[in-house]
Amino acid sequence: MTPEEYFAVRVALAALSIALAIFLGSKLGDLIMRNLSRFGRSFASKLAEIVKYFLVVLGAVIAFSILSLDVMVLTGISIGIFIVVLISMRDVFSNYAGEIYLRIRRPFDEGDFIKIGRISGRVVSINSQDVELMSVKGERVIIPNQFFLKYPVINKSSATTTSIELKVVLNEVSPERAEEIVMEALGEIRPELFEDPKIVSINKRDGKTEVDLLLSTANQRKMKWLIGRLLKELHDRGVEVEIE
Amino acid sequence: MRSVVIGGGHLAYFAVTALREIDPKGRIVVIEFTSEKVEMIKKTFPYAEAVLSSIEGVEEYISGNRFLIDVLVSATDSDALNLRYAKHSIRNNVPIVIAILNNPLNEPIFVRENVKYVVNPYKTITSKIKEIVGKFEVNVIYEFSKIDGGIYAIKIEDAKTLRKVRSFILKNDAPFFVLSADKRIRAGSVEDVQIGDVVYVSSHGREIRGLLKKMGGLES
Repeated sequence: MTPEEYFAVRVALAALSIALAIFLGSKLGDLIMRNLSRFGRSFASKLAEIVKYFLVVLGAVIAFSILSLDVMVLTGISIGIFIVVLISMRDVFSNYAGEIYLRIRRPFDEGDFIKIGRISGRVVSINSQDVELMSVKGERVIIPNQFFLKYPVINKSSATTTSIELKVVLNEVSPERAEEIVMEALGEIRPELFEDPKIVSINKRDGKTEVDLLLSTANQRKMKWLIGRLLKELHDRGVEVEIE
Repeated sequence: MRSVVIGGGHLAYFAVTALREIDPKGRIVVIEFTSEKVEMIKKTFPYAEAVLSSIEGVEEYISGNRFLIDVLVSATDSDALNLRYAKHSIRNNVPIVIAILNNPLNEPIFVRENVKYVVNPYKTITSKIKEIVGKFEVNVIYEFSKIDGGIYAIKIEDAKTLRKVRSFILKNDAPFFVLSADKRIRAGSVEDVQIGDVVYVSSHGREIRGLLKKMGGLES
């Protein structure tokens, strides 16, 4: 056998060992998931992942030993593999880091109402890779844990109420009359509010009167309904109105 | 604020009264299972809406009004029903769900089921008796509902307790006041605390449990 043929055989064997390691890792991972899920899916999937990567690394080590490369080449390849693994799994690692942050800092608990970025909802579960929220519309939202390292989280459960600012624009009505009408309409929806609504300011602009309001409620999902009720009450008083 | 109180017994009476005091202009709905009690509720609480419902109908009511209910108080005479309605309300994302216990021994079950606000009306019995008899080492005066913490009374009976309590207050910068043996209330320097005083200190639960452990395995 010529040295070239001998090297080709070694390369084939090395490739075979890596393929075998990947195959075994995948099969063993499935086996672990099937048999250990009763101890918790998250635990089983973590263990399956560790076993899978361990076998892949083992396969790679065997492959390198079959190839009998010199130390410099081996070190170079190892560093290369390490960097590739690190880059390809950076999201997984940062999700784990996110989980550690969530477990230690505990910015919120299951059942709390939180807002992160533009997403808000009630925390259903905190997992190793993600946090599951139930949005106000009843949608299931999965947020990777790394987001909690990058973006500010508002835990709305610590505050009992949610307040919104509304601008009510009334056409062809004087500021005094506008205040009177808006207060009457607000009186009708007051029983549904957490506290008395506030008129922040009243301004006259381009012949229109703008009334800035502050409404508070404990149930955030009620806001749309409250605005609808307020509009109806204002319309019932014969006022042409826009809400911004 | 729209509040829904389930039940028409004495627990519900206190819940409705408190809700009225919190928000006199708010809307209170009381759900009861018997027509006699509904009539009685209408007379006792003329400002509240009394609704007659079957046991199963309450869940339908909660689901149908989940976008509008701000506070739900589960205060029937049965803890099993209270737990059932509290869990249903939490599943429906009602923002504030409060369960009032009939049997204080059921509290851990509610906590395990993720009911955040559980009112145990019997909790004051222990602290009141301890306070009246005046014989205790630590007395839990009040526990906060939204954080793990409260107000605790510690009787300074010896120099060792005095040293530990002083060190605890200084280390945690815990707010405190003192009830002296001659029944005077005073607030001041930790150095003024003496043997025979009762120190009322407000602290996080974790910190106070640490102090209790140091004081020799006292009750928490």
